[in-house]
Amino acid sequence: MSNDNIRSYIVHCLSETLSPMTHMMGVAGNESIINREKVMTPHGLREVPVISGNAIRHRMIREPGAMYLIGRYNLAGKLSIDQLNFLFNGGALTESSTTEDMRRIANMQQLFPLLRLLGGTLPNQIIAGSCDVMRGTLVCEENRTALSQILPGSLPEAALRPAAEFVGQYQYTRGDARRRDFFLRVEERGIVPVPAADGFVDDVPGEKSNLMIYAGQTVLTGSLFHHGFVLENVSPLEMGALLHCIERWDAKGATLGGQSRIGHGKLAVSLLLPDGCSPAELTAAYIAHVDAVREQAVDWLNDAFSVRAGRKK
Amino acid sequence: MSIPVLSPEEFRQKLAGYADPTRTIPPEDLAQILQAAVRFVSILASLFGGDLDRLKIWDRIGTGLVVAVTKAGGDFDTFVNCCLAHIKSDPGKVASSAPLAELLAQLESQPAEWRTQFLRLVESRHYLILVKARARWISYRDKVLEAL
Repeated sequence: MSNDNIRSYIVHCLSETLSPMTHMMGVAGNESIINREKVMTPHGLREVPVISGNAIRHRMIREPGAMYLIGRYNLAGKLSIDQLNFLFNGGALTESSTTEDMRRIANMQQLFPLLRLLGGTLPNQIIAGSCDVMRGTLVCEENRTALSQILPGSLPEAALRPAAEFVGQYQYTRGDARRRDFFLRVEERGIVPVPAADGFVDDVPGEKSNLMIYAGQTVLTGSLFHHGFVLENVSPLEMGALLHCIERWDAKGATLGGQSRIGHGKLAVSLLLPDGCSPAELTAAYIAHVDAVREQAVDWLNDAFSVRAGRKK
Repeated sequence: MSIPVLSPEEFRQKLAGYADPTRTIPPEDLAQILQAAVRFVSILASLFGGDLDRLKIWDRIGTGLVVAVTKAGGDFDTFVNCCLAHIKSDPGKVASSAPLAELLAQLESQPAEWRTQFLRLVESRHYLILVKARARWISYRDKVLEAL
């Protein structure tokens, strides 16, 4: 790799919510509360919805990137928990870290642009990444100061909408099998069910249905978040890996936050890339690299997580 | 690449779409809008349907505000209609209500942003508006206030 190709990149993203987003910070009773951060504004302290950099990093980059490598290298079903944790969650120190194996780090950085980008923790050493992830900042008046510092160009002069207008509610119910007790074992109930016209029995006599109502807050459909990635002194391969991950995340549904199983958190992302950046060329180069180093990459992964001789399990 | 890549100008325009022209309403106008909302709700009390339980008049008006603002989807006329329907107002009384006609005329003469802000206040502060509207209604009932 020539040093001529080393440069820094800033990728800005605008993500518009296409469905209610439930990136939660906790629960109050049976109501979930969305993730907020305190922001000091000219009008005092305000609580503003935010997407954590941790969630963005995992869902947009690490997870799709790891899934791609596993698929491309045909590793499904062949990895240990430690290897999976390393690829999907960054790994954990499980051995003494008094010595660092520079050769192993160098090999990893040469073989895995994705891991060079994100870093990770091998059993005995922590490897820094080269990508800083910006938090998801809601485009709202309370965040004007922060956005005007982060964003290229200028914000509109007119006031932005206040954060409170982007927060909504949802409510769902979770059913109870008592409502469909036709399928219960008769001896357990001690009665003989008499199906109604629709083939079901409404209630077990003397028992109440425990239909559960659960509710929470959402960030409304049509809200806009700014987030982004800062890549410090990286090669085009890392930039290609980043764009490739974002593309795969987008193709797989582009969701952030919880409850995507019921349609929450769908995003439409747009990118603002640095000058001279060709996404097609960068991603193609990354894919070509992944394929070119297949054997060495799999060997490295197995070697880095091999059980050392004499080590107790 | 399947993801849209924006130019700096497109990026700026996307942000501009999140500006809110109604925010140019000065604070003194906001106080007026709140006052109009309070007046509207106190007028609703005078048009409360005879078929409903008068002991629950403020419960019913309160739920009416929430339901109407949701159903209206930002349309002021629909909001007014839904409120009146929810409290089962008598059409004859509605048609002959001078305070209502006067308030509607006043609101219609204001810019669209004004009415949007009206609905926003009802949505975000309906409890506060109920408290003030009830106090206003009692003042009127006790002849402290001459007209609604």
